[in-house]
Amino acid sequence: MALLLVALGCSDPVHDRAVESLGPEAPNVPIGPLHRPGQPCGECHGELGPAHRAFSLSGTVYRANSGDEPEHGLSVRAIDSRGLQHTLKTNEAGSFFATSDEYAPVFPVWIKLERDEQVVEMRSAISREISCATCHGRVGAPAKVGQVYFEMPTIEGPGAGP
Amino acid sequence: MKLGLLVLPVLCISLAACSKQDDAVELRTPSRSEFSAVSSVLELRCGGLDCHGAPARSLRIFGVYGLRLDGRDAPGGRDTTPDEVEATYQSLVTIDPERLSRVSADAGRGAESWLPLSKGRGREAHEGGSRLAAGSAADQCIVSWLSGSVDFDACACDDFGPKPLPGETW
Repeated sequence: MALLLVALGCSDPVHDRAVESLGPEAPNVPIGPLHRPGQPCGECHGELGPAHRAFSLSGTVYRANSGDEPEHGLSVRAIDSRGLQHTLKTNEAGSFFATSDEYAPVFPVWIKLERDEQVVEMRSAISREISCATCHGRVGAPAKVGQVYFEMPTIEGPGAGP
Repeated sequence: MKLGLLVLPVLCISLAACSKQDDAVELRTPSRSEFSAVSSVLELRCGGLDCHGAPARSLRIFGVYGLRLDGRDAPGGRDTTPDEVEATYQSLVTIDPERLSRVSADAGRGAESWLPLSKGRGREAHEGGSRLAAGSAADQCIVSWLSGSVDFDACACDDFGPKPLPGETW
């Protein structure tokens, strides 16, 4: 009983509620790199768990500023305050992540999205947050940016137009 | 008798609460009119959504990189507005106000002890670590503001951005 009370006393109710608020797993999506796109990965993949692997950077990139279509195979480049760089690739769900063993940046961190010659650079630095989704959400608001997206410009060829 | 015992303390407390406070302290604050240049430095370095650009912070920095004052604006949208600079100023000067007043009255002497600068320099516990290296352009910008004469050149040449290692590109 005493052990149980100690264990309960050590939990972080704010963290517990944050994890709980993410809801259950989507049906037919196994737990793994493709699960829970668009959610703040660091809530579970942080120091407090409950996931076993701790991430140092993570997020999901979409094809446009609205909608669910993921951007697959995109390069996500990061550089930290020491100048150490790391490149990640988005998976089939549009998600990317680095574990703390792979890349342990010293914040602030700057981010670029790249595909071939197309580059989109984040205007501000990431100060300490390991999950893009903490600041980027589906809908922009005074304290929330819209979802991360990489929209290729429309190329008008000779036959384009009416 | 019992009623009298109850009424007397209540009356005393009421009178004390209504009495005029003669010991009001007037605090000095650094220039508001020259603050825009300082605000630009703070917005970029400290005002991200995951730091002081979040509504739950004691020190709230408003602007294009983080928290917006107008509910119709979003981070990354239109540039920082004059009202947002004003809101940042008001938030900043209410942090450690007594010390800020002393520093302002003494032409910036002891600026490093003012809480926002002390934390920014990493002299004391700060979740964001050291973000304003002592002597850097950003630091000079803020110290000059506290001293009463903003060094606009220092504010303008603050170089906050990715710096790749020698031989590497970004």
